[in-house]
Amino acid sequence: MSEVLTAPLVVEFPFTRSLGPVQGAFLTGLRERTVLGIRARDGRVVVPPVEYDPVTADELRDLVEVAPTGTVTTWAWNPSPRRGQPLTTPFAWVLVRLDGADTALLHALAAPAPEAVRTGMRVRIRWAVARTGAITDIACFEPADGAAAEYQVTSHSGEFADPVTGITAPARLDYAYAPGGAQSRYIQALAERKTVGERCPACRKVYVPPRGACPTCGVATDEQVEVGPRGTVTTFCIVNIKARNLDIEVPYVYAHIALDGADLALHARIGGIPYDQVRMGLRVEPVWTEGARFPDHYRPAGEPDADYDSYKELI
Amino acid sequence: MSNAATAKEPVAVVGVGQTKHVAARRDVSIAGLVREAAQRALADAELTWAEIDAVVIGKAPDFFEGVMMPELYLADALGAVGKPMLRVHTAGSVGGSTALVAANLVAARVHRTVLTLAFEKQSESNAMWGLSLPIPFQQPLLAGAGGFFAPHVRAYMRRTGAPDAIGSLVAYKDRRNALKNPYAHLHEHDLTLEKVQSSPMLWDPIRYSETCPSSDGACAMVLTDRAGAARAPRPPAWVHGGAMRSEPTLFAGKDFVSPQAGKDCAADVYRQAGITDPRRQIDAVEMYVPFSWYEPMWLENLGFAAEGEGWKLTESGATALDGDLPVNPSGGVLSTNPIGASGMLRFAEAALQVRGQAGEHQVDGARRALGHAYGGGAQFFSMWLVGAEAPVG
Amino acid sequence: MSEPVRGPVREVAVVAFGQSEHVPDSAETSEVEMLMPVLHDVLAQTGLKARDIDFTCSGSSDYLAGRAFSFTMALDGVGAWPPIAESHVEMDGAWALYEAWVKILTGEADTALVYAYGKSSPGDLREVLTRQLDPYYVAPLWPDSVALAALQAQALIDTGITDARELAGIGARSRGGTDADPGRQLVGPLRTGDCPPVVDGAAAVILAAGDTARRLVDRPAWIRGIDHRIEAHSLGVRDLTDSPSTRLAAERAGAFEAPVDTAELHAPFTSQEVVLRRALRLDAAGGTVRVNPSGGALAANPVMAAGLIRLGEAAAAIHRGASDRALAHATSGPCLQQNLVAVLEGER
Repeated sequence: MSEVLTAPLVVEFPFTRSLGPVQGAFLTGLRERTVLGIRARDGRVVVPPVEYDPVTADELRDLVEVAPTGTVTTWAWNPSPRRGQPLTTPFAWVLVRLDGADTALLHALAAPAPEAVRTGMRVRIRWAVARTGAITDIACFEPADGAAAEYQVTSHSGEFADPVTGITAPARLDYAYAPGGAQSRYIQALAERKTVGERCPACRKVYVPPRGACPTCGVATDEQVEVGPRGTVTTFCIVNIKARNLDIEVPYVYAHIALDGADLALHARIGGIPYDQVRMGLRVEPVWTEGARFPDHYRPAGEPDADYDSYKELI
Repeated sequence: MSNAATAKEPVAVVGVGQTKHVAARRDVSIAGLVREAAQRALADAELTWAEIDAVVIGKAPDFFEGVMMPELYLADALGAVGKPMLRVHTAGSVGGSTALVAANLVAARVHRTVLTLAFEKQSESNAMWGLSLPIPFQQPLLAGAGGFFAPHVRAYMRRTGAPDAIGSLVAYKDRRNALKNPYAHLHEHDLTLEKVQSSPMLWDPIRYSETCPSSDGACAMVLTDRAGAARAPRPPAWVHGGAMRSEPTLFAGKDFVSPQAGKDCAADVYRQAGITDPRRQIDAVEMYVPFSWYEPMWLENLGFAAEGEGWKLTESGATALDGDLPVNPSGGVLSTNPIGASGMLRFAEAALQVRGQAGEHQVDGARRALGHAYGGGAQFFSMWLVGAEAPVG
Repeated sequence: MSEPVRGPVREVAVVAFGQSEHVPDSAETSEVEMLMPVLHDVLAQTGLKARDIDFTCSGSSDYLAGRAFSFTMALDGVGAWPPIAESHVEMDGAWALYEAWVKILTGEADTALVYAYGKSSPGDLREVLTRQLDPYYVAPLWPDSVALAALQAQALIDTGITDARELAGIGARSRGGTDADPGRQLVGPLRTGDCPPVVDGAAAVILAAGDTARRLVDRPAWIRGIDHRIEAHSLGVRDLTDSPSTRLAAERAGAFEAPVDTAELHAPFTSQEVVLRRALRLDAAGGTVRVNPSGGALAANPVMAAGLIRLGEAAAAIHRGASDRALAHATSGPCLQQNLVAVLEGER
């Protein structure tokens, strides 16, 4: 019984988001401590401003300025803030209808305890000290005094000096990747420098690497079959540009190799031979390096080339 | 599959819209990008948002923009509030599959008028990042996207004896065609065949000029029923056949050069459309050619040439804009590649041809055109055949 | 809407339903290893071979898996050879079922295999789901899915529509117990008992048309109507205490034309069941609707499959004679943004 493999997988990227005119004006406004909304077709003032009317789908352009104060329309107490959230100590998530607006904006409310929060309470924006033109320019809301006053919105051109046209939105998600049973068996065999495929009980084909199912029969592969170590180059390309995050000198050969006993080719680099001498039919064997999970590359095995007919079904 | 209770409703394309495709659309949000294509499709059909019954949207992996299921956020921009909205994802074929799902809503008489749209805003991230997330225990992709396809091109060359220059002929033709398409991403006015042939060899046998760009762009179509077509201000394109076929990513016996799923998909479409001799009966083809060599490969796979003969068709000039089987008059994927939208662009450009609305890249007298898309490890195929005349029956 | 309500042109039924065991952690199996037994199960129920299926459609999410094109790996479990007519939605499998239903209506298919799967255990689901939100104004704040549901729950409490006791009762009933201990507070007012267990799982159904369905199963669960609708994305422009999209979908699906005896609601949070019951008028005077006899999403919520499972559970109730007319519901997006309603009937 093989052990279950897992390993961390980090999916992380700083996305570059262009904003368009409405969102650009809103986020630039935040940088300038000005909150903009937009007039929808039915006359409602939508804050934060949307580019398209949520009812009619019309393109909206009539920006207005609203107040930095407002009323909580609903809330939720967050006792344990998570990564990336606006505050690091317990806080309330709130939907806030800013004075002058007819819709609510989602953000955090700094409050000492849930007892200090209620729907209908008055709040105001606490501005971030360093503002760049992002929703996080609102650090959070904080409790405010005074009743909601009748607020007269004023129209706004949306124009600011040095407008923000884009944001960078870093996003990181952490996963514990588990390749599952078949691939775990394969990977564990590699640790002993063996390439072990799995045979389909129905069509008898040997899959390397095995992925848990025979993809043509739709049944589990479970009979393990050691293949290789030698194999035949079925086809290849010569890589002349450096791939991202790969420290391999170009040019090099990236080949499809049908290991002896396998019914389809796997992919690997060819070394130990000038790149321009690699050919279809070349017989190769793996070269292992200390501590590596996969063969570092394959090199010529010193055998005569395989006949095209012997591997053409494996291309 | 014979006992259909009633015949399908004929489906017509009455609106086509696309963005100007560029490397980075820094002036619009994601919503703004899709909206531009949708608005143009509505304008072409002279319809309003209220006249759309449902929205079917497609794109390639969500990681490209870093928005999970972005149709949720895009519902407002696409006028979908209060309507059905479906999101399709079938890898690179998705633009085509999305259009077919939308067409089926009309064909099944579930809806009368459907907006379908596909997009990719690749500048929000980096496609190679999205395609090569560092999955543990797996060997990193050693060669980038071109490295995945180049060995199959070599296999094609070996199998057919095609001369090395064929790929460059395709690239030169498609890039020249793109000059006639104002929406195309690449407009290389100074390109010569010599320049293509001397461009750097990236993944031998694929040269730089034989690869597709990375684009921001969107494409939209309005599909409607017979009654809707009768009201359309401009000639419709009628759907005469449409199909999807899939086969596994990797399997023993897979033919990467001419996948069976592609052959089967084309055969199904031809059967539906009554096509018995595609070379003679089809006037224009928009096929998904991300690397130039895929033109001759698909010519064979789609039955326009016998096995091993596709490159001869390309070499003869038959696939040029003024040839007898123009392929990718729009400039194709080689000139414009917003991944998720690329398939729908093929379908939409085929529709433009039979509507006589293709502008400078119009194929004279095109009456029947094929739109083709594929994706994954050459495993997912979607195609449709559109015609200037309504289907009989 | 320019279109009149038009009835389906073909009779289509759910003829088989299967699901995996739903487990908190399935590290020992890959997606395809988890899915494949379920596919075999539904085929075996009908006696169909993979080759007999005219159309295949699935629902799943790359963001759950943390990998692009993750659905291509699951396809290995189908045995897609010779090549098959196949499609995929990046949505809950309930919408894959909808696409397959449309395909059968066109007459291009008589049978369809629909499947969905989701493994939440590799990632932090609450964090992953933040990536569904408006990428400019909301996602940068990382508000997690429980927090958003809690905002909705508080709005329901503020308006007097529900209270903590009712919510606790829903949680207890869904989990089959009488113990109404609501657990510890997660994001107030929601407690652990109000929230779904995070699990991995897969599900599949087979659809068939007309006489084919009658041949395959004693009592087909006929899809009398199915419809889905979406709402505006921003929580701040919606009335979180209502679900107009559910009501509209239910109307279009014919749910209000006759009473149902069973309702399978995809309500991952107790408070959302309250919203759905109101929108679907399940608490009408004298009503005797069994709500979520399966336990619903509060008992097992394999994301991307949980909606399809509601359709499957409703159909299974009809297959075994426990229901004559059932409503099934699926949801997607934050705070019930998108909703699907189907009405299933057995012949009496």
